Amino acid sequence: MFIRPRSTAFLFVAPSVACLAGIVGYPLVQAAVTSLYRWNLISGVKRWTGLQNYADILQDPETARVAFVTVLYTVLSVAIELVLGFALALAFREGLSKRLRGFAMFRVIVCVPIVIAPLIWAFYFRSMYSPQFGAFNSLMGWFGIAPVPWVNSPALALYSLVVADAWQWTPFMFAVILAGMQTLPGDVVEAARVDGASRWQVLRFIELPLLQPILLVAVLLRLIDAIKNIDLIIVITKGGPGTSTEILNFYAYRTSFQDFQVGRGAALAMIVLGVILGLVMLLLGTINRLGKAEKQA
Amino acid sequence: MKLPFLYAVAILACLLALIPPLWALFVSLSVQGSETVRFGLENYREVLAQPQFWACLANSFAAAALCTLICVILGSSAAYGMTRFGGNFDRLALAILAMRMIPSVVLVIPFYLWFRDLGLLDTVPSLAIIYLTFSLPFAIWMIRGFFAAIPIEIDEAARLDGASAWAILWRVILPIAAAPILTTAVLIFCFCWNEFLFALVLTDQKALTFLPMLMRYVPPQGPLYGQIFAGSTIYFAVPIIAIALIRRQLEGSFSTGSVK
Repeated sequence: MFIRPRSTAFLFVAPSVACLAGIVGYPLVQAAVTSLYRWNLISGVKRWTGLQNYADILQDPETARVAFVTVLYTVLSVAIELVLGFALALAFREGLSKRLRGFAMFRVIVCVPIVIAPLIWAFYFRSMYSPQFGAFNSLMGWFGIAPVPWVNSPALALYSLVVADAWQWTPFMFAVILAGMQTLPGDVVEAARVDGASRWQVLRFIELPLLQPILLVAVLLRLIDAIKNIDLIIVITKGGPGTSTEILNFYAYRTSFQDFQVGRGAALAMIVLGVILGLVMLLLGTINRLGKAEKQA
Repeated sequence: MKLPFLYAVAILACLLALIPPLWALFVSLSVQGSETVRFGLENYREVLAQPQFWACLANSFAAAALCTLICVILGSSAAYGMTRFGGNFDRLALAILAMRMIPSVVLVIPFYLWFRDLGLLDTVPSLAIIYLTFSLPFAIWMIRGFFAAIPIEIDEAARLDGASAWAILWRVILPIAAAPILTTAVLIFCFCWNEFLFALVLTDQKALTFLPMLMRYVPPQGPLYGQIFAGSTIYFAVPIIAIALIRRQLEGSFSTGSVK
């Protein structure tokens, strides 16, 4: 039997597309529809309310606070990861290019946190932050510093979560940026150095512009993941003390599966999706541009 | 930059990376005596003696393995269709990549309602199915890249020998790309192994996986860190051992590759 190549192609692609339509497309529509109901899973009351859930969320004074905490948490974490990851990548590139002993191994060790389950990482930090027996307060006790309520004070808890997040994901940023740096054309840098450009000038005017798309991809990937983060918060603070660490994603989860308001929860989840979708559009645009630049080169 | 400075930075970074896991190891190995804290394996013995620990480990493994298997089969076939027959699938590929970014919290609500109505809550296959939502896009995207790098002349030679499209995929393309596909499979397995939110919402007793089980070691008076960390050290060891085992396989599949 002779099959035209194009239809054969669709034959191979179809199962996956059908599968994804069923398990991603259909639930997405379902989530959108659910967000239009007032639906309590405990009482079983389900009533069509149209966009009422969204209107309620917009008017709720809680929302502004959740939005503020979410932005503070994600931006602060990713900014710290970017700065530290970049600095670390610079040092490692220098070490690796000079073929210094041990740097290949150091690079692997630095990346260990990436492979640890975020939930387990969260337990590590919950225990290290614990008021009496935790690592941080014990260490400070040796130097006579009074114990700090890392995650038990509303003023400090969010920053402690940022530290835990940055501690796990700076290595990711480092790995991506280092890989990007190693693909930079060496001859351009050489030429600039020969022409008398200082190390700082090479970094600022040649390498940084070349690295910019890679940095953007890394930042967007981390932003997307930081917004989706829920493990740290479920384990360490559960949104508290009070509601000081309640980020949007956790708020959506809590509304759906602890308050059992699935309609409102779905509306919140759709808002998370909207934010992520915006970032994904930026990300895909950047990847597209990278691909085009590669084809031109 | 001066050499001592470079070394100081590198070693400090390694120390920081290792402090949390080493702290956990330290806690899991220390035993509260009547007066003092001493080292011992009691936490490990206690955890290993619990049938629930083994059951949850088995569930985590079954869900991750089942999902990985489906991903490799569907993903290879889709990647084959997208790369070997001309046709421009760039837009589809980007759309599939975007799917991977969809937050779990959006998908978990419809899946919860869906599985509840079908009586599929708390089963391993249903967990494996929801894991496909993030791992199948990843599988397609990765394998597509590997297949695109294989010269199309190989297909044409096989077709001249009378091989069907299926035979070319199974007998020619898959063996060539075996090593990178295996790497992708290991990555997917690790993603599923570390997944938490879906497992927390969708499993309860029969299909309870390891990570949501850890949450139950948190009584009101505070978590039982010794046992949590003993369990998680063993849990963490599984993907490490899997990667170490597969390393030999990887080298083997490289040497038997047909493109040289």
